[in-house]
Amino acid sequence: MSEKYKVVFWGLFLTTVHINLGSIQLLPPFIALLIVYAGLGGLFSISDLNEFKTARTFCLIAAAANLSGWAAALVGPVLGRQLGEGLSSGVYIICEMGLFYFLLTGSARAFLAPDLPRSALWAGRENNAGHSGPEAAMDEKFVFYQGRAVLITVVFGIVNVGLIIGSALYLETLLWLVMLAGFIVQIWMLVLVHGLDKAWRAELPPGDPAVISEMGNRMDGEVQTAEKDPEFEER
Amino acid sequence: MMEEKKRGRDFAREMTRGRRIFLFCFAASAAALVIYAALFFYLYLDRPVFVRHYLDLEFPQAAAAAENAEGELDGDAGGIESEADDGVPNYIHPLEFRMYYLTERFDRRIVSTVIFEEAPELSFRADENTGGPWFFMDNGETEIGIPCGRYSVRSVNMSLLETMDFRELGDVTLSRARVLFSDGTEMNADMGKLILRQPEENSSERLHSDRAEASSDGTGSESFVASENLRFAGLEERMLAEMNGLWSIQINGDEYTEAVGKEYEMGKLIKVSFAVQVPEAERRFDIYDARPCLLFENEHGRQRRMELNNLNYYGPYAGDGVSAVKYVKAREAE
Repeated sequence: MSEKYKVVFWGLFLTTVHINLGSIQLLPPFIALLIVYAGLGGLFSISDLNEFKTARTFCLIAAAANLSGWAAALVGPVLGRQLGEGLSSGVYIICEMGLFYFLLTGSARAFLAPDLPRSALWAGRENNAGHSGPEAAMDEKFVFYQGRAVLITVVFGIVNVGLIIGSALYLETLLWLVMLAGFIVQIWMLVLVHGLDKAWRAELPPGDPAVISEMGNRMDGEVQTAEKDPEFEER
Repeated sequence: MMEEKKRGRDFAREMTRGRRIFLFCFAASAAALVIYAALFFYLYLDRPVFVRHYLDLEFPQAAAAAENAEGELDGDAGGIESEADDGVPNYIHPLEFRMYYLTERFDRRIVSTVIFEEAPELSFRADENTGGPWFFMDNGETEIGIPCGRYSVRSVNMSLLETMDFRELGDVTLSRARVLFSDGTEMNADMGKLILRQPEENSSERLHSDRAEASSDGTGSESFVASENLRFAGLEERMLAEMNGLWSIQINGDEYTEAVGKEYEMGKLIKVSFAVQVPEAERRFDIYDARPCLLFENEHGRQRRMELNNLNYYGPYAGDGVSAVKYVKAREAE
C-alpha cells in the first residue's frame, strides 16, 4: 500500500507544482495524472475497494479534460479556444474533487478492511471510546480520513464554484482568492497522502487480530523499534 | 457483538453522509459549469464594440495659413515651404487622436485600417497599441490592451495622412467607419461624432486664459483678466446634445445659461469653472472631448472667443468589468 501511495503522492505533487522551461510546461498535469492513475490502480488491485476504482475514473476524465484544454489552446478561433479552455478547466477541477474524495474515502475504508495487511503504526493505540488494540487505531484512522474527505470536498466545492463563476465574469480578486485556496487544498491533499504513505509503511501481515494486537501492544507506538524487530520482519 | 454492529452502523452512516455531501458539492460545481457556459455565450462578443467618440478636432494648419495668422509665427516661418511640388500644402501640426474599442480578451486581431464613410478621401494611419501590462500573460503571450473584466479595451492611434489640401473639404463630421482587422475581417462601426473643423484663421479673436487648472475628478477652471469691457454672448458648442447632462460650466459662479448678456468690466478677473460627471454605465466607456467655445463681445460688437480645452471625459480608463458588460449590452441593444 505504501508504495502505491508514494506513486499517488508524486503524481499529485507534479499536478500541483509545474516545472516550466520558458513558456513550455515540461510535465503537463495530464501526464502527472496518469502517474496518479497508475498509483490508484495499484491501490485498487491490493484492496479491491470500489472507491479507488471510482477515483481512477475521475483521474482519467481529469487527464482527458486537461489534454483537451491543451488542444483547445492550440485552436485558432477565439470562441473555441476560450470556451474550450474554460470548460476543460471546469471539468478538470470537478474531477479533481472527485478524485480527492474517493481517494480519501477509499483510504479510510482500507483501514477497516480485515483482509488487508494492517499497519503496525496504529497497533496498540487506544481510541477516544477507550477501546484499545489495532481495531481502535484503525477506527480512529477511518474517522480521520473520512472526515478529511468530507472537509476537503466542501472546501474544494466552494473553490470550484468560485473559480468557475470568477472565470466566467473575470472577477480577478475572487479568482486570486479561490486559486490560493485551491493551492492550499492541493498542498493539504499532498500532506494527507504522505500521511497515508507513512501509515502503511510499517505493514503487518493480514491475519489473526489477536496476533496483531499482541504485536501492537509490544511495540506500543515504537514504530522504529518494530521495523527493526526481526520477529516483526519474519511475520 | 452488539458493539461491533453499532460500530459498523456508525461507519456506514458516516460514509453515507460523506457521499451526500460529495454529491451536493459535485452538483453545485456542475451547475456552476453550466452557468459558466451560459454566461460565456451571453457575454461573448462576436465582433468588437467601438466606443462612441465625441471629439472636436481641428484639421492640420497649413504652413501658409499659419504664416498669415496674426502673432502665431510672428514672421519667423520663412524656413517653412508653404507648398510641396504635388500641390499639397505643408502642415505644421499633424492631426492625431486615439480610438478605443472593447473586445474579447483572447482576441488577437488588431485594427489595420479605418475608412470613414463620410469622407473616404481622408486617409488615416491606424496603429494599434499592442503592448499590455506585463503581468497579464496567457500561454506565453502578452495580453493586448487594458484588461477590463471579461473584455479588454484596445486603443488605436489614428494619424491623418497629409495627402491633400484639407481646406477644400471645409468642416467634416465623421460617424460611420469601416474597420479592417489584421486577420482580413472587417466591420462597420458607429464611431460617435468626430468633428474635424478648419483651424481658426484669425487668432486675434481668441481669448487666452492666464491660469488654467484641471483635476482628474473632471473639474477644472480657466481664468483671465478682461483686457476690455466684455459681454458674455453665449456658448458655441457642436456637441451639446451628445453631452447633455454630463457637464456644467459656470462663469464667476453663474451657470453659463444664466450669464448670457452679463457684462464684465475691463481689469476684472473672469473665472470659468467646469465639471464633467461620470456618465451612467450605458455611456461610461464613451469619450467626450468637446472643446466648447465661450463667446464674448466687446463694446464695438467684435467677437472674442475662449475655447475650453480641458472639458473632457475618457471612459475607457474609468470603466470596470461590470460596467463594460452593461455598456456592451446597451450598445448591442441599440
